[in-house]
Amino acid sequence: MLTRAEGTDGVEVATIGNEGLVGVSLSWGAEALNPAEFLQVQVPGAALRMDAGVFRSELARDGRLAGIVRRYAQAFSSQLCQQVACNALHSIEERCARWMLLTHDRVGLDEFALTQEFLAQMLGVRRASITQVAGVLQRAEVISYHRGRVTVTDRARLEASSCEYYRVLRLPGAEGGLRPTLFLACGSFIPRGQETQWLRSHTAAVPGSGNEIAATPRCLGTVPHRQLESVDLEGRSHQGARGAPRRVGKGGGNMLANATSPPAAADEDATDFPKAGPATAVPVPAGAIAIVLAVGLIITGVVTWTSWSLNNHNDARLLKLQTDQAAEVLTAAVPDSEAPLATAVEVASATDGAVGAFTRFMSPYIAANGTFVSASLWQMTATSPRRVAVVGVAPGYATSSEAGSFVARAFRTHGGFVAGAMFRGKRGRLVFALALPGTKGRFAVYAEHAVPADRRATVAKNSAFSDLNYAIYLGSSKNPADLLTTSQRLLPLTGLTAKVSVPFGDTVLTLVASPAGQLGGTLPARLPWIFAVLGILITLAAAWTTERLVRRRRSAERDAAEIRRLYTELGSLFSEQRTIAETLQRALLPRETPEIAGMEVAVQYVPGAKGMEIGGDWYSFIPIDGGRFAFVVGDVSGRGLNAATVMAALRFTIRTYALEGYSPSAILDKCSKQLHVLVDGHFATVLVGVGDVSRHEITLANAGHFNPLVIDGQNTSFIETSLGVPLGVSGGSYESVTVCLPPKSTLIAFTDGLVEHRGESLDVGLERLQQVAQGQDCPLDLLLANVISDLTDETSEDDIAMLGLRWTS
Amino acid sequence: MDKLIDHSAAEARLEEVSDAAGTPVLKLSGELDLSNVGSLRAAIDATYGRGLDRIVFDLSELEFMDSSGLAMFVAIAERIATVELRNPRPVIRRVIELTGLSRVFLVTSS
Repeated sequence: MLTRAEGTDGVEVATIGNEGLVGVSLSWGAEALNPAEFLQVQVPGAALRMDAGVFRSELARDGRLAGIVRRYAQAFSSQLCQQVACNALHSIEERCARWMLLTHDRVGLDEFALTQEFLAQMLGVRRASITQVAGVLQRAEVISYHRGRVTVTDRARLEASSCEYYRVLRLPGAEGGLRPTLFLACGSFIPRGQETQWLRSHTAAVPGSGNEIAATPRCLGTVPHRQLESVDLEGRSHQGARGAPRRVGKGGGNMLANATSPPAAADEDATDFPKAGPATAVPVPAGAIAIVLAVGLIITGVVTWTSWSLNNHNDARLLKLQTDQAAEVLTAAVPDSEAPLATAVEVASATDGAVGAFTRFMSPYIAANGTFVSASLWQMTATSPRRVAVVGVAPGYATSSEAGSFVARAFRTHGGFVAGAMFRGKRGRLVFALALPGTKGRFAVYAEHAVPADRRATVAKNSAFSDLNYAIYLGSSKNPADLLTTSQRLLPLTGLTAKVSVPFGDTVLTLVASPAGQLGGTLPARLPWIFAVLGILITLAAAWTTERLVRRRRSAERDAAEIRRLYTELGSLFSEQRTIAETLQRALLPRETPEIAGMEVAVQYVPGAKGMEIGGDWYSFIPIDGGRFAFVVGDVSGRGLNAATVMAALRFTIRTYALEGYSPSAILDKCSKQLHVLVDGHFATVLVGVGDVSRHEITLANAGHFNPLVIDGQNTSFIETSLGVPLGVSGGSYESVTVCLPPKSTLIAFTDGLVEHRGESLDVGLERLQQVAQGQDCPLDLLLANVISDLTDETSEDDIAMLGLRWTS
Repeated sequence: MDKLIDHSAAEARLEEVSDAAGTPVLKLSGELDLSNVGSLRAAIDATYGRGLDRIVFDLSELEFMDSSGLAMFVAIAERIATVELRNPRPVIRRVIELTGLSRVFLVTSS
């Protein structure tokens, strides 16, 4: 509900939401809304309406609705009172917060439409003030504002910012039962057909409206449901038209005939609250983040790959080294087989094939854990070798002819040592034959060495093979049939492998190996992973830091721009006000005084320290004719443009009367009818004098002003005038007093700023003035300046207007 | 009445008390100047604006009053026949005298 006020589009006096009803004055018998008041939908929503006749008869029946309405009427009237008091007493910030809270309560949503223009109108203050206050609330993160919509982000602090009236005003009907929705009493009250712009049939669901409509009939108790109809209230933010308020309905006797749509925002961007808060306003610097991420990931990739390939290269080198070492061990093991056989051949030669000597010599090698399982001594005959003796088990070869041909091969081979392998099912043997060509008796030794049943060997710790998975083949191929022994269940070996062949009799042993663990230790192997994970983490951290820095910089830039803008705005406001004040002051208080023969005239005006507002002090000097003159010193109570307007009016009125030849008392009498403190809000103290230069005579009338000071050489005194009430106060009557002044005497009239100090009696100031003015033998304008500088300092609050007259003879 | 003015430059308090004779008295204390006279005036008008023919102010605790404060009392005196200003301090009493307003108010001391 708004009330009309001159020069505004209306000021809000009450807020009606889903706790109340429009048209409560029907309950106390009103037929129409007071023309000064009108209603305006601020936030769109749904409502229920009922015919005013039904409403009245329901009230007359004094049922449950009547009780609810009575309670609401009481709450509504106290809301009106409190809102008036709040507007008068509280700061704009408190009122702004209170308004948002009341709306928040009634809308039931954290977000609602609101322009500064509108809020300024509701609170009856300047838009710039709202901008400032809303900026403060937004920077404190109590509200956020975007494109004409306010979101309440911190309800508790908004309440703390509000004045105490909010706590009184909040939801007055909450415990009264009329909680769920607004309803409108209409019919003759809100005329059907005339309110169509304002109330439309509810067609589309408005968020949150469904429950309200469903809940209301329950609360209304006995009111028949069919008497209630649902309407859709179109809010200010839904207004398509811009510009002047749309006025709906013109008929008399219609409460809502005065309802208007509020002015839509003239320019949504221009009415936005100042943006603030990096959290919501500053966009994510996606480009910068992408660059940092890309660079970070590339570096991570390169480092990881380098470390991985270095590790691989190192592993291959280490595998080769280990495999070579293992091969050397294998090579060294071959003479272990060869040496006893060679000695046995030499023993046989020396003993000419004595069986006993051979058996004694070989027995230790055949023992339980000996090198061989079987050894036999052979002698070459003309055609084939012949077995002479056997130690251990019988030779594993099926036939002795096979063994004989193997031994014969030893006689044919250079070096005389042959090796081979044979397998029968799972069991296998390494077989050796050694002949020493050129020795006496042509003896040879044949021996068999057991191979593990499944060809798998256990690997002793700290052996050359302990770090390797290996397979040893007889011959140079990796044919599984030729496998002698391995550490693995599954062959062939895969991955990184190394292969070395070592001589073994008339053939070779082939060692194939791959690393059993991490040959270079676990750290180098894990290094690529560590680099990758660390790199990604560092990249993410860098991206996050970049994002923070960029945001902070942008936010700082934005804040700086906002601060500059506010300062500019503030500066222009101040300079605008100062310009107005200065212009008025120049117009009203000319420094150049008219010259008059036989008299020196000087004036002084010193603005007080109380800010920019223009004061109401003034002086006038008016030559009339033939040595006659008038002068005025006055002071309008208060400050500001209003006081200055009153001052200007008085100044020109008195001047006119003086030029027309009225006496001082007549002038004051006439002026007292033109100013009234209840109408103008100010009164004025005025001293008017009319004098004659040649006759040294002056006639004075005084409306509540200080008596003028006369300086005659060393003597100073105040002229006693007949003191009347200030102009603007009823019942004033004024008398003129005429005095003669001595030659070369000086008269000084002044306003209260010269003699008034906080906490000190005016008499003290007046006495000090007398002392300071005494014996100042200097030009009149200098005298005035001296007096002012002696009596005041830069903290003096009030303006000073001063006028001096001095007879030159 | 609680403290009414709390965010203006000058501080003024207005409270309703009763004197020995049981007459309601509005006791003003602090400093009254342009910065707070508007809100004080609104508070007084809202409560005592209508239908009185006499209003009593106790000014014994009022330390300072400028011309706008004086204007407030003058405006009240225009609507209420008798405005009694009780026990003003000498500083304020002198302001009233020098502006010729002694005849507008009933200035008393007890």
